[in-house]
Amino acid sequence: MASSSSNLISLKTSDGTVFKVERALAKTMKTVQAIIEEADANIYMIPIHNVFSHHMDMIIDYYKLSVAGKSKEFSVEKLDNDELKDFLLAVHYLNMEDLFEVLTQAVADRLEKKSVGYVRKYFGIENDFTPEEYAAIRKKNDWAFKGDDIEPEEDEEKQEE
Amino acid sequence: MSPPSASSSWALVPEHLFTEFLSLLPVKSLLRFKCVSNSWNTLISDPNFVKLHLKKSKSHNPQFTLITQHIKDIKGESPYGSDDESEVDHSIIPYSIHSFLDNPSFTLFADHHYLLNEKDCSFVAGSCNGLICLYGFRFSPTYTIHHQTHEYWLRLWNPATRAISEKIGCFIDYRDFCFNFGCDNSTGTFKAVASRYIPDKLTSDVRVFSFDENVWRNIQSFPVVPFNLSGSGEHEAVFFNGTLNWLAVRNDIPYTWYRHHPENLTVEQFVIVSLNLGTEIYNMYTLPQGFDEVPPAEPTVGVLGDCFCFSYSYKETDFIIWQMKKFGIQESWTQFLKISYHDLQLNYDFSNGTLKYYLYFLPLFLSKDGDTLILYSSQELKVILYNWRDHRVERTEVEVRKTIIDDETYNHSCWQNANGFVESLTSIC
Repeated sequence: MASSSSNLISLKTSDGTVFKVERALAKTMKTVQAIIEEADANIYMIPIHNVFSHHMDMIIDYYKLSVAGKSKEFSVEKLDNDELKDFLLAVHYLNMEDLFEVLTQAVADRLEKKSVGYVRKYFGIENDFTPEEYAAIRKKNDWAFKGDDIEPEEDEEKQEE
Repeated sequence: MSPPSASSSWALVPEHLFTEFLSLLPVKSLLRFKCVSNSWNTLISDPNFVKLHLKKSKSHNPQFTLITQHIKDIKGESPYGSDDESEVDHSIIPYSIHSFLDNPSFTLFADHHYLLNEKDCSFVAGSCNGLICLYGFRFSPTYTIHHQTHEYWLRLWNPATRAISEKIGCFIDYRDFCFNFGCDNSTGTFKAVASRYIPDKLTSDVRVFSFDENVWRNIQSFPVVPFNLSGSGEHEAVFFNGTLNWLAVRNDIPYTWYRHHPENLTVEQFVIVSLNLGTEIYNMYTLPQGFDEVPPAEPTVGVLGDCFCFSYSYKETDFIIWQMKKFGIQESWTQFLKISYHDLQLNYDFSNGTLKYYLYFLPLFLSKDGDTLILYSSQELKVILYNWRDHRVERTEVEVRKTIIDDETYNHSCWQNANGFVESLTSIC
């Protein structure tokens, strides 16, 4: 058990910053909790890979809000898509259930109304359909591409010009 | 916000992470994203993914379906109106419960893909796991002229994916069949139940259609005939946890509340008839011990907050709702709410003494936190939002329009037929 005399756990992020966090917060990180429980001797410092200090700042923000019953006020709006992805992967590495759900919902919200082209670029996915295959699948659910709030596909935008 | 450069490492991310985002997306988005790539098309169509998406949809985005009626008068040639006709159509429209609670007064447009006449169907048998079972019928004269017969058919429809089956389960038989729908919990097989009361034999004709086997099978008649079965042809069965449930009254003749006043009934005669859609065997359950007085108006059964519930008016002053906390265990009946009419701010005229026989409330849905009840009033033909913790009442105003231009169609919401619904990718075959 890490420093059994104190209620704080020390976590060292990838960029070398040490955060002293409450035991209760460390408990929400299943990866960290597993490390603590497995250790025979006292651990003074737990290194957390893939997690940077700006991630820890946001994790602590979320923790404080949820303890106060205000988790709905937590927002990742100011993060761009790359930053959101990195934060999501960090939280996934730490295995924090609640915050992970919040972040996957945030990604889903960003993708909901977007075009197929946007989604491919977002995830770096290649279009491996032949034009005929694509046309067939597209035709089946053509209505799903329509609606004021849906981002039009790139090829269609060009056609409209 | 532009998408990130392709060099960012989404490619290194395990596939189950993609499944996490995708399972949170609405069906319309997922149908579009089938075009992203071969692997996404495979993933979104995978039955395990469909199950996961359904589960998330149930907890994150509970919906309900509202049935609306559209009546258009068509004036005929005669100045006396003798050849005037009415064109009647229905729609069934899914709507989000959260959205409704956030803004309970709005206008709902019955888009044409929700209309039933176009699907050659008359009404709804029920809904389950994102599928709606519709049924249709038409007069079909047979060689036997002693009785009128109908040809019936079913259609399975997913309003979220807009997929609809052909007419299936066709049969020809007497009129007055009622239809219900659900699924067998253990296998997920969808089933429809058709039933009809046979007055001269004091029994009922009940048959089950399995969508897997595509065949109707006669089963035992109801052990106790559900009341209203011989009534208007619509009778409310409640689908819950793999079973269909009806309120019934042990009696020598089928009981129709509005025809016979309840003075001669005793509470002991009430029972719940439950049909297990897996085994196709009936069970019967008694009502709560605390139900000690026959109410002036019909009691009802339903589902509230994941529990099977039973509710009724009490002494013209209150409305009581019981929940069966553990379905099937009679000792688990627990009184959930006793709401006074005063708290609902009713200003109905009770003075003439007959209102109590017609006034009934239907508890429809609960908010996610369980504090707000969506309650239908038969007197107002509208739905009331009641927060039982704060005793706050809000009346709602939902207007239904068939089109943006006023084409003189009379549109009306049938809140008494509103049912829980969930958006899903469930396939219709």
